[in-house]
Amino acid sequence: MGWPICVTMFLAVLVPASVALGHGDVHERIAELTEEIEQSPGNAALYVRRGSLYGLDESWAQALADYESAGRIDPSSADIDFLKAKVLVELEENERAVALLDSFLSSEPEHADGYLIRARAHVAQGHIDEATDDYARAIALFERPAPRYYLERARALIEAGRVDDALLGLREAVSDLGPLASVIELAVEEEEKRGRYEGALRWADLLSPTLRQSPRWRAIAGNLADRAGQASRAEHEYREGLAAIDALPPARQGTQAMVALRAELAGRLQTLAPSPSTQLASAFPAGLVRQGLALAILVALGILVIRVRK
Amino acid sequence: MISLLLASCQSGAIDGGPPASCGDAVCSAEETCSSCASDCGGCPTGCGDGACAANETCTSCAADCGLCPDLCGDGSCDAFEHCSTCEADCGTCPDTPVTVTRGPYLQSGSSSSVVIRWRSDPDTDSVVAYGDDPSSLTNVAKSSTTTGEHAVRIEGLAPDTRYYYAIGSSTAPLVGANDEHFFNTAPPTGAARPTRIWVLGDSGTANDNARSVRDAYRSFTGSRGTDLWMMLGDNAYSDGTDAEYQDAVFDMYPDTLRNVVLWPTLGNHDGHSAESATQTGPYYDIFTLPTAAEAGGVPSGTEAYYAFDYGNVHFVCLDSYDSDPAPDGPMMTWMENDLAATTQPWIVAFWHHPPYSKGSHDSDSEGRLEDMREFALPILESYGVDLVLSGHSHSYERTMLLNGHYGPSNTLTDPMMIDSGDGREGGNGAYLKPGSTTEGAVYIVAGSSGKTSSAPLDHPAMYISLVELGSVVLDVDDARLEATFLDDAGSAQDSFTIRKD
Repeated sequence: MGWPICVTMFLAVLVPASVALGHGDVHERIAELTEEIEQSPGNAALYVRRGSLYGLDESWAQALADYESAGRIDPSSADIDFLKAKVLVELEENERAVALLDSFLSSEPEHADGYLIRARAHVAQGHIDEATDDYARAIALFERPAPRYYLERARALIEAGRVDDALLGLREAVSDLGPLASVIELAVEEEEKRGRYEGALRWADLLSPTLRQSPRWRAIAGNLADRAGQASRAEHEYREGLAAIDALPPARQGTQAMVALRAELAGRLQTLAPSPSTQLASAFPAGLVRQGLALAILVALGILVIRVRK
Repeated sequence: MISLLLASCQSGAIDGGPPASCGDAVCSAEETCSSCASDCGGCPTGCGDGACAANETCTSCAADCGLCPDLCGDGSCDAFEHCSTCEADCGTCPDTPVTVTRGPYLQSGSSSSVVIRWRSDPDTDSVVAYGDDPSSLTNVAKSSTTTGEHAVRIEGLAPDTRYYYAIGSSTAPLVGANDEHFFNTAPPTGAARPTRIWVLGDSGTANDNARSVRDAYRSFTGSRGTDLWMMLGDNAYSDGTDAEYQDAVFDMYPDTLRNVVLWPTLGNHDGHSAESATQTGPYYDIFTLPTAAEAGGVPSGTEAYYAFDYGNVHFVCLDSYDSDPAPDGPMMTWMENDLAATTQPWIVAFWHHPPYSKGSHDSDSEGRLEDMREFALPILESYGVDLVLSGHSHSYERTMLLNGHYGPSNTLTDPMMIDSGDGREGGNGAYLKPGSTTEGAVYIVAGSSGKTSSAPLDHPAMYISLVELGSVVLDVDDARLEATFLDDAGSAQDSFTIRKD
């Protein structure tokens, strides 16, 4: 007697990325289940369990065969259709997957994973509008949607050439999850690709202060400002980036990443078109500039005093 | 409650009728005004007569009956009032007593906050009282939501400080308010403090193996105590179900759970019943992990992978089982940003699937292990990671000081071995990473805290490989990190030191 099918479904359906296993290796467990199936060929749950194991092994054809066997034994189970649809997406049989999911979701309209899998099948077929709708439903239904869903949708939209829609979706991610680096980095990358440097900078400014003021983001922001023609802002970002590296403990300053970043920041500063203040600063050491200014003020005051006395 | 009991004694009420000598006109020792008015005279009445009479209470006559605890009668059921001590404020006690069926346990601790969790039966609201003296818990944090799964975040704490606590509901304190229930907040971020970290991997067998490893560590650490502890995945066999977590974690380590913040990562067996993308399943229900940099680092937006700081150490936890490990995926993008922003001298990373192993799992032929090595290590090493901890193989395997080894085991070359010595100050010398040289990390497989599995154990990057039950103890003190593999008999089977001075 195998597990009750409801238990199997709980583990197999609610946990789509994983499979209920014992201690043993996947192949050992498949062999054990094969023996059990030989003893109880009418037990749908056993086929579902073995199908899930085949899925973990990425043996998609065998997984599908097992789910189909389970479906023949228990044709009333909508959950088996969902499992079959997941495997069909892996097998790139997306049209069949969508048909199964249409039926599944009509009986399970609150099934977030169902919408997610159908969205992926739509993307594979180039049906971006349908995919976008399904992603939106999935994200709304997941109690705690992960960053990966927003990013997956954005990448699909970018691939379809709908960058502004992708960016809107990323804004939704920031609104729902906070200013995550993974989300903002993609947005900055897309804005930059399109030459919208100001927009990219605005995205960067959404980051938490800890991250925005890190040398890495000072360099990114400096590059964006430079390309936006804001030389003084770029210079400021590069200088702040170097100062941030200088402020790190020695163990951090000497890492490969920070050494490379320091070289990049210093190099960028050198290639920037010098601003007037930069020219002055580079022509005279700061101390000399201050002394010169003081001297000029004294001379001016002296001339003033002489004129008043006259 | 105590004052009420005293008051009833003082009134001299005695069950069973008057003494036999009553009526002899002598007020003898066993007679009182209430038991024998004919010999002793009538009892004085009225508030202020020095006796807390039956019709007086602490609320109606504090002069005779004393002050009510927590101002009973003020209309508010305060932290340590409950139905048994103050029915006036807290209502009648329910017929079914509330019991704590899990915990308390500590989560997501930082220098200013901690989450205290527990499970109750039946559901109640949540109250935590805390303070620096177990007999006077003057601060209260509460949640009015009725639940059996309690999670109360306490904020505004002082760093590096011991707090005692008690948990309960608005109608009953349940456990605590003694010297066994306490937590220590983390030191200020960046501050160098001697720090002891206990590391368990694949500990979820809930059997004598796990118990012996636990007891060996307890004896080893003694009164030193533990500052934080980590579980490297496969925390509860076989499927990470709630019942398995009860056996393998909550019933196994109750003392450590209530005093020390636990930082876990997801193993493949935990992942059998949990999903990272939706943060659902027992693992995600049981643990409260930072998503918004609540304990340091950069927000990850998910409990599947996260960072935190403790003193001068930055910790990075990855999900090697159920999150996309691609270099441009959300997890690695987050990690790179997190590492780029940290200013901490030490970086320790941990996840379940080891980048190097020839234990019961082979890092040359298993996808998740290869992915972590190829995708995570280049980022971590470029930012100067010092130590990487993982489990999965049921053995102890520890590398030399390595850098840049991202291929299979047969691609290891001499330049990748920054220091091929034992890393022991009494041996070839500690591994050195002064500021001018930040390259090199030690990789530990510590998956033998619950069981061992025989294996080739012949990865050429390893300095030592053992099939022994045990756990890893890390001691970080300013510029020095010392790691010890402690077997289940309490013997140190391996140790090494990394120094940054």
